[in-house]
Amino acid sequence: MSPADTAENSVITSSVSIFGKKERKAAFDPMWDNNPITLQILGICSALAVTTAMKTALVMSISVIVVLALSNIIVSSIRNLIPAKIRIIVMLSVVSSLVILVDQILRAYFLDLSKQLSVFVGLIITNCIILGRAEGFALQNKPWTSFLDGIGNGIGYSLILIIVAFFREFLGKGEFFGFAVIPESFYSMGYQNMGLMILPPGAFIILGLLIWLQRSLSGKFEH
Amino acid sequence: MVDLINIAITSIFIENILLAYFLGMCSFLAISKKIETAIGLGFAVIFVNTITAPANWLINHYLLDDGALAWAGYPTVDLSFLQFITYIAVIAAMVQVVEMVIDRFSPTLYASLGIFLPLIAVNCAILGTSLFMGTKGYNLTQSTVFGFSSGVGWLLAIVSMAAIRTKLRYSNIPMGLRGLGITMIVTGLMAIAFMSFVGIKL
Amino acid sequence: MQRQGNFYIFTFAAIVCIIVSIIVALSATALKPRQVRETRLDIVRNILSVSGLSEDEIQSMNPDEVLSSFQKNFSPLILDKNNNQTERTELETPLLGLGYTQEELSKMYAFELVTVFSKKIPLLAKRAGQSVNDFDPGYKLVFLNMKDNDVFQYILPIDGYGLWGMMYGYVAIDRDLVTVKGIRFYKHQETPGLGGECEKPWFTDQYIGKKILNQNGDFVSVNIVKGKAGDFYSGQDLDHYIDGISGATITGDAINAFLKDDITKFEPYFQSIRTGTGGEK
Repeated sequence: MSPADTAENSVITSSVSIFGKKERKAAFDPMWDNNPITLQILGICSALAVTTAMKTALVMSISVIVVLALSNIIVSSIRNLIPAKIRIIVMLSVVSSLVILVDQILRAYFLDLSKQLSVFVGLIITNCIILGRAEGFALQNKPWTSFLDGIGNGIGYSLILIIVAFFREFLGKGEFFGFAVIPESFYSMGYQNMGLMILPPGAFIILGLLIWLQRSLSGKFEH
Repeated sequence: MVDLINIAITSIFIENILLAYFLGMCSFLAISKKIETAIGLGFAVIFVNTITAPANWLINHYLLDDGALAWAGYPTVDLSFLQFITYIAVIAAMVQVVEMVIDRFSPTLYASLGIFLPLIAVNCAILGTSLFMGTKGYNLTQSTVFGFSSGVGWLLAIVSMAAIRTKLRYSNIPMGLRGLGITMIVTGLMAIAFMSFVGIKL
Repeated sequence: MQRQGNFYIFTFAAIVCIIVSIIVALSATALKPRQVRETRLDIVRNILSVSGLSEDEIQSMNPDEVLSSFQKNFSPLILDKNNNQTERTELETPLLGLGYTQEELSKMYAFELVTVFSKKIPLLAKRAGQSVNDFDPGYKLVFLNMKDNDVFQYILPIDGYGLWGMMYGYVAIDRDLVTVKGIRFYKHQETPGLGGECEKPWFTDQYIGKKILNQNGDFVSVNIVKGKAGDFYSGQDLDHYIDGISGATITGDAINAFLKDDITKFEPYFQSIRTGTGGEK
């Protein structure tokens, strides 16, 4: 949460608009300019483990978007009722319940994916993005704006996840969404999958390179 | 005894909770700039982890697991869906206690850790340890050793990273890579180095 | 944020606890039947797959067809540690004493019943005043794939610790009790691209046609070789070895170990059928 962000958030608007300037900023900023992973440095933990395949990355992304948006709405709606002393644990309770719901639904309707994600669904609770946005945005803003902020950050997060997963799956397994895309002829000519991409180091390196690219393109550097 | 040593070696080197499972990255990235703070945070993580792993194990074994409530007369009840919320509540409570203890005994450390102390509560590595001990099926002693060793592994990773970043301070890093980018790449190289431990069997 | 007194804080906390508990408990109980069914379907699909049905055939069947096909063609057999055939009621009766209803026990498939029983063994042992080892009846399950009222294949569950975690699978053995007809690993945590190749057809298909007994009738199981099997063995010896997964020696060794262990558990039973002294009903 950069200082610029907090200054924006404390501006009081008297009008309620659906897609006013502030709402658009909340929704679209986090997708690129203020991307939660590459710029805010949040949410990396569970990001990397699920990027070995695009399918798992996609399911994780959707789960995070849902939990983030809902938690932002709920926290924002009760923001004037939460006692200051217990606010962290109240936010954690809200997030945990949402994650339990998501986990139960996955086990009931998408057992395959649930098995592949295993404990990483539970780790959404500790995903810094969710608590970071709840604490840094939802507590000071109206429900609708908070919802948009949640969606924006969720999409920004998903973008990075899916790009990393694309490279890891393509270079490391020669697949796209589980379908082999590299022709057999390449393999017989001696082409080999870059196994390192599937292992943890591959994730770190691809993410590092992606951050380099994203920051150079958006011009937001760290010093 | 040998299995405990095995668990320790495995969770410190081979299945390092940060370099192999990616857990605990947030505070890792932000605090690894100075070695002293890194060490302080590392020890705090070891401490919290070693307490919460057995605490959560006991709660799971006597309250939440399938058939755990047999002692109360409810052997068919399965409350394992409450694991997530119970574990995080226990961790948050423990961190609160640790915070108060550090403030009382070492105000300097408390001041230098700043906001990162309460952030341990949402450190993926701590919740991850509690969840992993379940999937690996450890008993109470094994879980405690696992909690302690995961913490040590995390400390190892974070202190190594702080040392490397101190050395990198005067290097000429391209603009876009400065800060997070180069840290990721260095972490990747560290992860490769730790992979050399795979296959060690005691 | 206004300052609130302790009373407010406690009341707020209590209300949050109650609301959270209700929502979470409701969702867990409401979704439980569906979750049980999904887990059951998952296991059944794996058994169908290892018995020789192609993935396309299995995908084309809807859930009810999958379950009815399983119940029609596969007969579960529970054996205790002395290889005596065991009836379901022997497992159900102790569980009734714990509080399960007959209705829920009857709805369980045999493999689910055995799993539930295994989990409750420590509790049942304590109630019987015995140590776990003394009490444990050592129930194991084998599925008999029936065709025209005759056993066509034997399907055994196999499991063991791989490189990163527990691996679970099934192996199908022909009625001659020597030839392997299929193997599947449906749950594991091996590295994708390395140990994870154990789920790929190129690997599992190699097991088809291999023999677990050598020419002298000794049990040798089927082993994964480091490298190409053909480089080390030829002729009839080749019947007991398959090519390894490059870069995944540890996973291969683990599979060899638990595959051998798990078939060994059934060897006395198989031997009794081969020599005609035992028999399945």
